[in-house]
Amino acid sequence: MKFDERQEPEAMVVKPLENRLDSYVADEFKVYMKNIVQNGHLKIVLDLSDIDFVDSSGLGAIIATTIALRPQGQLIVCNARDSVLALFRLTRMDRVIPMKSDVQEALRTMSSE
Amino acid sequence: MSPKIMNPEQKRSDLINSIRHNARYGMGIGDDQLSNQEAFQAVARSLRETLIDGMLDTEARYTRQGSKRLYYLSMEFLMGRALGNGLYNLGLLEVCRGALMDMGIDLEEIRQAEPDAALGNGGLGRLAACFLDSLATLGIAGYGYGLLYEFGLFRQEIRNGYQKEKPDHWNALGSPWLIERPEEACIIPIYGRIENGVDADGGYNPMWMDWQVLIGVPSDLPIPGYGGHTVNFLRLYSARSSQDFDMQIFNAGDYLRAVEQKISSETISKILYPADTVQSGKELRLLQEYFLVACTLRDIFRRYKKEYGANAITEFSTKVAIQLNDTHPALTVAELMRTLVDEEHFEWDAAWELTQATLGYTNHTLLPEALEKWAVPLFEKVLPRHLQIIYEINRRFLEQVEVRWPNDTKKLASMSIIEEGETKYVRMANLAIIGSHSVNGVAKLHSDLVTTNLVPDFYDFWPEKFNNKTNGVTPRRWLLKANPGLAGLLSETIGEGWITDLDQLRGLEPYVDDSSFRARFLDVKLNNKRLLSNTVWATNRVRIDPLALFDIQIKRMHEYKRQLLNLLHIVCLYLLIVEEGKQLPTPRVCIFAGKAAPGYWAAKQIIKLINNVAQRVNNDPRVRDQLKVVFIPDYRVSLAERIIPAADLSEQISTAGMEASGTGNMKLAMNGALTIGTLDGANIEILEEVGNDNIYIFGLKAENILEMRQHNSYRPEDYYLHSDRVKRVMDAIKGDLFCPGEPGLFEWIFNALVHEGDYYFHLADFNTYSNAQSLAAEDFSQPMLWSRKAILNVARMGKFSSDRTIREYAQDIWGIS
Repeated sequence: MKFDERQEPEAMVVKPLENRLDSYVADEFKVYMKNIVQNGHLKIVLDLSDIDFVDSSGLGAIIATTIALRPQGQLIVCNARDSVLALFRLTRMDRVIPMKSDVQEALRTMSSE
Repeated sequence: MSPKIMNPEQKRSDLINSIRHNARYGMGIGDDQLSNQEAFQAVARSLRETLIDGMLDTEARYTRQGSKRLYYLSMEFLMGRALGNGLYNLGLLEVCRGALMDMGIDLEEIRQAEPDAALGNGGLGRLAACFLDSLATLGIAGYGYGLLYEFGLFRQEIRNGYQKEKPDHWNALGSPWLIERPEEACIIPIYGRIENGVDADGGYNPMWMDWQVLIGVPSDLPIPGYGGHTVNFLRLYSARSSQDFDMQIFNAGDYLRAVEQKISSETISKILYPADTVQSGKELRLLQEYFLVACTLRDIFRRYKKEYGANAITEFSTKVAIQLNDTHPALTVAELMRTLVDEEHFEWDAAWELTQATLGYTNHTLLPEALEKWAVPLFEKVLPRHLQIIYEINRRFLEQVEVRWPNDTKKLASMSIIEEGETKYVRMANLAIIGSHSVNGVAKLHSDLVTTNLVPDFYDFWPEKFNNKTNGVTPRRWLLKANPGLAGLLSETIGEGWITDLDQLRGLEPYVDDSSFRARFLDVKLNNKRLLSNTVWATNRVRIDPLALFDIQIKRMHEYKRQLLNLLHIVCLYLLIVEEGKQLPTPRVCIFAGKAAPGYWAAKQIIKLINNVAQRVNNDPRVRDQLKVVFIPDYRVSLAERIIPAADLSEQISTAGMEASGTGNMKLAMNGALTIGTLDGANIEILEEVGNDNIYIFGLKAENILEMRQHNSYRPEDYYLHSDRVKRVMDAIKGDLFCPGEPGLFEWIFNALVHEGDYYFHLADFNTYSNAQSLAAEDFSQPMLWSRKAILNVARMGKFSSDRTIREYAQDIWGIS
């Protein structure tokens, strides 16, 4: 699994360069994100703009990252497509993880909190 | 749709070009070598273009007008063939006939090449199909939503008198009518678990985790209304696996696993469950029901948001009505609540108000065994979040019951959605009643019995919710198309207005004593009987006389429908002829057709008995053709269209209080058959319309039967011992007369009826039934008297148009004017 990551003043922006976040890549995703957290990045913006399919394993891996960031850190998801956003809402994960429309909005939110 | 202004010659020439084009470029076949099947496909593809134009125009009109939309959710749509219906409704029948004639093709032959879309078991599914025709004819924005079963109801073959089931791969060649809409596919999660967490504000947040995913792909079947002004659609979902998902496994080199995953996902819409099978514990059936509900609601929300915006959900019920055809789609209550609360972030009370305002529920059965319930452990495994929601609905509802009837544990137990016991069950009827603003039965008696016997506590609690909507049938399919001879005579006599306003059939009454009209009416019937005789010869190799009384019982095989009572009477007639040398007042041909659920042993045995009686009677020279018995295999819509116009006598003889409505009774009477029936279902309303002189009513009433059952006061042995007629017939059934090679084969029937309580009251009704049959035979032997009664039946069937039924639903339940 490939990622694009860049450090912005407000947060680390991570973008998976895949179109699926499913059971076949979920573990890899989880390890990757855990490493970022362990390296001291406690504010992370997850850019899902390339993802068009997420299954429950993928959502579980995102939740695991949120848990790893607690209590001080924060994860914000942005650029989720309608089909992906629908699954966040369906599972009520949108009530746990802030969802923003793009990276800039996510970074603004991060800096204001 | 605005009809194109063209003269018939232009239309004909355009159609020929379109058929040739479709055959050549759509199917790769030159038109000089088209088989009937290929010609059907080419014609259907040509008609499909007109239908699609109509659908798009209709959708644009609804959007422009901001029409409230009605969604009719049903696990079954028994559509039958579409070509003839489409041609009639679009006014293209003669154009098409002429175009094909120019090409050397016979329209009637290619119509026979179309397979029936048998996506239903019987009355419930056919009612849904009739409703779609009426919705489109009335110009109402009404849509059917169902499943695209790969295999419809099984094909029935008869071998050695027994029913054998064969798969019905109705769409094997690809239906030319279906328009697949992959771009509107939706993702449906199933299974999983609930993780009880907290949201960003510290509130309770149950998250649905570890689910699996199904993809619902819709296909649309266009539904043209009569006159072609409106073309609605029936949207049918197929279950697919996620292609992306599969491709990943495939890429990982595990091809077999990819295929297995695909197969298990696609199993969801593989097969229609036959009626009368015990479905509790059938996980696939629960998955099917949820799949239909979830796909439908996603589609409704998608369309609604597109039209009115994502922020207008509070107005949802002013623009959307959803009707639940029986309890099968009752999960809609929980899924709509889940969508509103979980996805749209509604407060519970606001979501509940919207849910109730949107939903209506139609009850179709009083049989306790047919009321669906699902074991809680299974439900929790398949739909964990929905179970939580149902518990919460139930908790809040039972609090209201407790306020109304404090400490009444009996009421709480009967009204709870959850049936308590060693295994708990989710009662789908209770869920549907609680979650809907309207609950209706399908005939007056049935609706009364729903309130007095089936769910009296709910009626006490919410009397305003309960109402009746007597079923109807579409006169376009069941008269105009099925019986062109009679339709032509009617139109010639009273004009064509009856096609969309069936009450106009009353205009026939002045002609009832007109000898020339009567003679033509009888001619039409005789011609229809000749056509059916040809069918019987082709399927059964039995010659029947079109001048005989055609006594017809066509419906699903079920003990409560009492094919057995009919058969007992036939045996009685046979014994009178061969043992007493009696001459019947008129020769009689008894025709049966109907399928038994594959697991319903008794119903299948009754088919065997009918065939064995037929074998005996038809081959006994002493009978001298006074009596014939025929079981026509593979009953389906297209066969019904052949049988019904030929019927003289319509058997509607269910045990009183057990048939919800029946619609075959309406179709047969509309085609000039006289009803012999009990005071059950819609028979009562047919009696009210046609009058006592034009129907043969017999037997116990529903209240008699209920009372006898309550007091356990029915003694069938007494009828056996004290009625010579009953005794002779039952002894003949018990003996080897009808099973010479298999002694004792039908002894179980004797035991069930004489010694084991005769649950369906055959023996109690036998003598009054026989008397009514004698009267009918005497009347039939006087053609002028009979034709008068038959004409009055046709003239007084206006009430039973599904147009009337749909208008009532629209006005009283859906808020659509």
